[in-house]
Amino acid sequence: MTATDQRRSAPPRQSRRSSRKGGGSKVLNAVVGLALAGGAIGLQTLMLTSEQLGAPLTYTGAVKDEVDTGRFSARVDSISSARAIDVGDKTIEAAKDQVFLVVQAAATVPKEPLHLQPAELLTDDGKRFAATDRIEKAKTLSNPWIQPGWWSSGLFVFEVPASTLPGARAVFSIPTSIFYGEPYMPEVEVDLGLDDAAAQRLFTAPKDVYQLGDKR
Amino acid sequence: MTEPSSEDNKAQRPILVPAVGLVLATGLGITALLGGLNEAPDPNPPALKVATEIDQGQFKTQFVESRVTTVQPDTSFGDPKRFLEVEAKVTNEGEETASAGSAFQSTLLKITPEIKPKYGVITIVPTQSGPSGQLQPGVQTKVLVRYELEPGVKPPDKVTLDVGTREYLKGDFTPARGWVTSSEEKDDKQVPVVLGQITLPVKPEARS
Repeated sequence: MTATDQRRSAPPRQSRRSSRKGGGSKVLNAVVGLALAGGAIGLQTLMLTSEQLGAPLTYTGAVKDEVDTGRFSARVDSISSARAIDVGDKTIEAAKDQVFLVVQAAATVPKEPLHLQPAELLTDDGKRFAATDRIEKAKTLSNPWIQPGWWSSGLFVFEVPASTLPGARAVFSIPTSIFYGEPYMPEVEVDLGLDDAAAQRLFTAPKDVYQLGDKR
Repeated sequence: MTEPSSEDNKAQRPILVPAVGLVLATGLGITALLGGLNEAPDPNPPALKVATEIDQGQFKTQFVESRVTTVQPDTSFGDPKRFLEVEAKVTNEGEETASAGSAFQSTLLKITPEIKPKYGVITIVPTQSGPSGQLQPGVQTKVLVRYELEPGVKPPDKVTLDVGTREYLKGDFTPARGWVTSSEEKDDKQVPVVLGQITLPVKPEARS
């Protein structure tokens, strides 16, 4: 009897205490809950977009820097411009209002030999110009195997209008596997250091003919 | 009190329900016969004008003219080939270099009268040093689309091209993205969207 009395009288006291405690913790729980929910929603804004997920890992540098991505290293030695390019059997002239931008570059790999993909010129406003197909791929740095142990040098040629030159960057990349697409491919982005004046000079005073194949 | 009213209801019900049902069924039947509630396809795609800019999504295009042309072979071997050639000025509105031979050519959906060249349609960017295949972003480029004519075949007086459009698609959660030729579902089949039709008179070959 006494035990049941005690038991009967105990719960209300406990529940009163817990409800008083619960009053404080309810507010606290709500605050914590809101903070967690807010945090979770906030984190969504940090989620990578599909474009960012597909984007390569970009290693940047300036002209003459050796930019190492781990899979390959690339370096831009010099840049020049030309109205026409002599490829031996014929002279290739740039289209009206355009100029050939010749990027002399070199590349090496730490381990596995590979080929570079044709380079791209990334302009200040985000456009990507592929290296021109009017110069055969065999005459560019895409042609040789890039081997461990030494730097292979060669060039890439872009046929571009004047507006693309200020702030332009040369982008070098390597092909992904034929059998499966690799995520996070490395690429080297070299700022060619062209301010408005230098870009103007390149466009208005190009070499008449660039001799392709001349070794310096 | 209750009995007369229930009798009234009984008298009305057998007529009202089947009548409404019949009207609904007839309406549904007529709608279904007329092709359902989908928007009726426009039987005639709009006519596009020569030398005006056409917005194809990835490209802004002006069709210039169409002509018959003979191309001499590169080497001393082979015979000269005769083509029906369509000239266009194309500006690549995308961010990246596009291919004239695949990306742009895929928007020319159909040519009437039909020409089916044995070796496929050839699309080139003519340059001083030979053909290129690149449409650089933001640069207006002259493009030639060539349909080879069989020897002895009389070229048509005019051709009509069905012009399609390109759209940029990207996966929500996958990195896959890029320009594709727009298509829509018609009779459970994906068919390309026809932006319009352009009719070009074919200039006969200049005799020299």
